Amino acid sequence: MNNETTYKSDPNPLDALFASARQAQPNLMDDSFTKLLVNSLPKTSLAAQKETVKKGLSFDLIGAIIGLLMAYLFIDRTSLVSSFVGLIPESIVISPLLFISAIGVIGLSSVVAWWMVEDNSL
Amino acid sequence: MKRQDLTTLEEAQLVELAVSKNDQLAFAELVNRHQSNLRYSLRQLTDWNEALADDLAQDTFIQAFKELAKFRQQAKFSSWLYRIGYNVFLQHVRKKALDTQSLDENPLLSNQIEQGPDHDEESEVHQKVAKLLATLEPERRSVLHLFLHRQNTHQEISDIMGVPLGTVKTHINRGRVVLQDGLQEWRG
Repeated sequence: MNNETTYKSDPNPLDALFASARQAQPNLMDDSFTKLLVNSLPKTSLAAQKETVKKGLSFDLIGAIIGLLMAYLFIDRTSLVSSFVGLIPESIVISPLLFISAIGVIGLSSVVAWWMVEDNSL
Repeated sequence: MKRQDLTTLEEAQLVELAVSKNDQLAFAELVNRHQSNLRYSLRQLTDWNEALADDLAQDTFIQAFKELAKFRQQAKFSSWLYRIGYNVFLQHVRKKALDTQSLDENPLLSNQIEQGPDHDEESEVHQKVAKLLATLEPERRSVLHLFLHRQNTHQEISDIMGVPLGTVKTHINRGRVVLQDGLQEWRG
């Protein structure tokens, strides 16, 4: 079929050109495309991955509940709380040098974090 | 299930198998059914760059496999797939800043259209269409491809591409003018 003639004789050449292309659209049968694609598919779909994560979370949750229950039954809570309270110092003394060092470390960490975000390292 | 048995199944059943049983053969059957159309469309959108179009088609199918559970059976699988393909194409354009070239700006392109490559007449017409579409910006190019080649309705295009109906109509009206001018210019 002469495509050139087809769309030249049509009143709307643009529609005729696209009609020619549509009618002559090749069937791109290529087994290697499908094989290559199937080989590069992730082993599990997103749904299957979510299912695995859900199962993992359920196990974690059950473990946490059992742990909390055992702690509630077997640990002396009064002595636990008082030992925690004992860890809190009655007063804190910060020397000027320590204060300046702390500010410096915080400032430097902020700059490094900002730089990493800007550099897309994070 | 054997591959031969899969060819007789409906698309909805293949999707169900691929999602619930993670059946890659079922998904491969879906790929077989749609790869030709998708690869052809992507060739039209990428100025008939076959290697690039095939890479984008691969990315599209991989993303479709990952998100298959999100596919709602009310929609046509081909429309859903094309939506992913269009987004993959757009992401590529944004990354690589694929140029849209006008015939005026690029006389070489004009000559390429006029002379055509060393292919048979049929492949020549596809490449001419692709070169003509390449003169449009990517979103408009996709709209015009869906409208003029795939013969989708305005509403279908709006659904596939996720753009408002008014925008689709504007793209079609303005895009047609540009394409008609380009065609006239090329025919001299």
